[in-house]
Amino acid sequence: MKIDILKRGAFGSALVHLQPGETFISESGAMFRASSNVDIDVTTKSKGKGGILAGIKRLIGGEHFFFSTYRVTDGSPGEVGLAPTLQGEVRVVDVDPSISWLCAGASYMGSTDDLAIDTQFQGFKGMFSGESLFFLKVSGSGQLLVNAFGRITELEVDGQMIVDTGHVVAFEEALDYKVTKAGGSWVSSFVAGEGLVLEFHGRGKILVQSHNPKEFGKSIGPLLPARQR
Amino acid sequence: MNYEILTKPSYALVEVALEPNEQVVGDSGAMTWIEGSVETTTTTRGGILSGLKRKILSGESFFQNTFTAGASGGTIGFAPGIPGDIVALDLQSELYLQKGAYLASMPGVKCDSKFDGLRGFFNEGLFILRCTGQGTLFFHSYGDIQEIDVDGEYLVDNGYAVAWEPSLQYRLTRARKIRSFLFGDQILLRFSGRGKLWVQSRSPHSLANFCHPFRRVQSRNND
Repeated sequence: MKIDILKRGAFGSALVHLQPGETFISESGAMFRASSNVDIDVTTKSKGKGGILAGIKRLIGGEHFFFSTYRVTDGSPGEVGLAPTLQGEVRVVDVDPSISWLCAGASYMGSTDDLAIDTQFQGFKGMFSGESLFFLKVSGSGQLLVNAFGRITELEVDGQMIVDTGHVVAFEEALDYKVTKAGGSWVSSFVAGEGLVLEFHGRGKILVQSHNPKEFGKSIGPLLPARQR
Repeated sequence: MNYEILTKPSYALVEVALEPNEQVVGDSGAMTWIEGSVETTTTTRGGILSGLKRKILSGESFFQNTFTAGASGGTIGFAPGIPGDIVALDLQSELYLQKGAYLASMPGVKCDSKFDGLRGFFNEGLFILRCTGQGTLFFHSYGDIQEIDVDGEYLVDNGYAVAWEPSLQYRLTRARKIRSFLFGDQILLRFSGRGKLWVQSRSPHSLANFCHPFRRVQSRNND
């Protein structure tokens, strides 16, 4: 499957070229253009894993219940264009069986159907802080599409690194990680507005986005008319 | 008239250079800078009714500004309200634009609203913009603009179509399966025929939906 990343300044998008027999999966609603021979369906599962339970897990994690699936129906090639909501970069991550990737829920855009996707919770710390902290574990051999708010920086960890949870796009599973507080105590950490961070140990790659969607929302939201409860 | 589209593609802005006595029309609020002796006249272009139709029906401006260069010529910069790309099209006869996509044009191009049928109710609105005449037309998008040569059929998500040639028809459709309509919540535009179609890579509606949960909450009892 060939995926073109249309790197057009601040507004990246992806054009996935489908051959007969190939299936691509995306976050529900990411499709913005498609050739007419593409059949769009919904599913709760990726390869091997899933079912209703997987959909419910994703819902609790703040993601969509369903994935969208795309395949061509008439035996000729087709195309599907995918775009995120916020401005920023779109990138292909090549996943191979030796290293799985963990992808932040909001950064997942799509994947080839030979990749298995499983939702992993980061426990109650995440829920307590109000940051819905869960990752999609992507494993197998194929291509993973991620989107970022702003630009992506690829960090090579060798030793230790700390990244704010709102900036993590995806990272290799080879890295040990734990969810922890940024400051000295829980109270000072929340007062400082840093909330939760991920502390990584070991060797591996992390993709980091330059902007934090939640911080953007918090700067725009108060300027809008209040909503009635 | 010469023009140059600057700072493409994310934050595009078009600079138009006018010869003496040449004119260019811009959407209200689109003018960014003027250099040289240029006279600005604000009119409804085509009468009050035409302006009202544009404003109320298609969400465009009631007034449009006509810029006329003096004896020494001048340059004018036009920028859209939302960041994105600009397309300059040499209009030959007719083009349809989605609400809000018009930026500027040569005076030979007229813009009017067109009833888009009840399908518009599910789309961006009941009316779209119909641009007719001859001359250069500038339209803009939110995000990148992608040009598609349609020959047969093509699917575009609701809210992402920016402009299309009148040789294309479209109808509202949904993804094929009934359950994807029930659960997937995606209404699509199915374009058919042969012609050019321009789509944008971001949707202002999605951005608004993203910002919505961050609004303050006001309790109904305390007002």
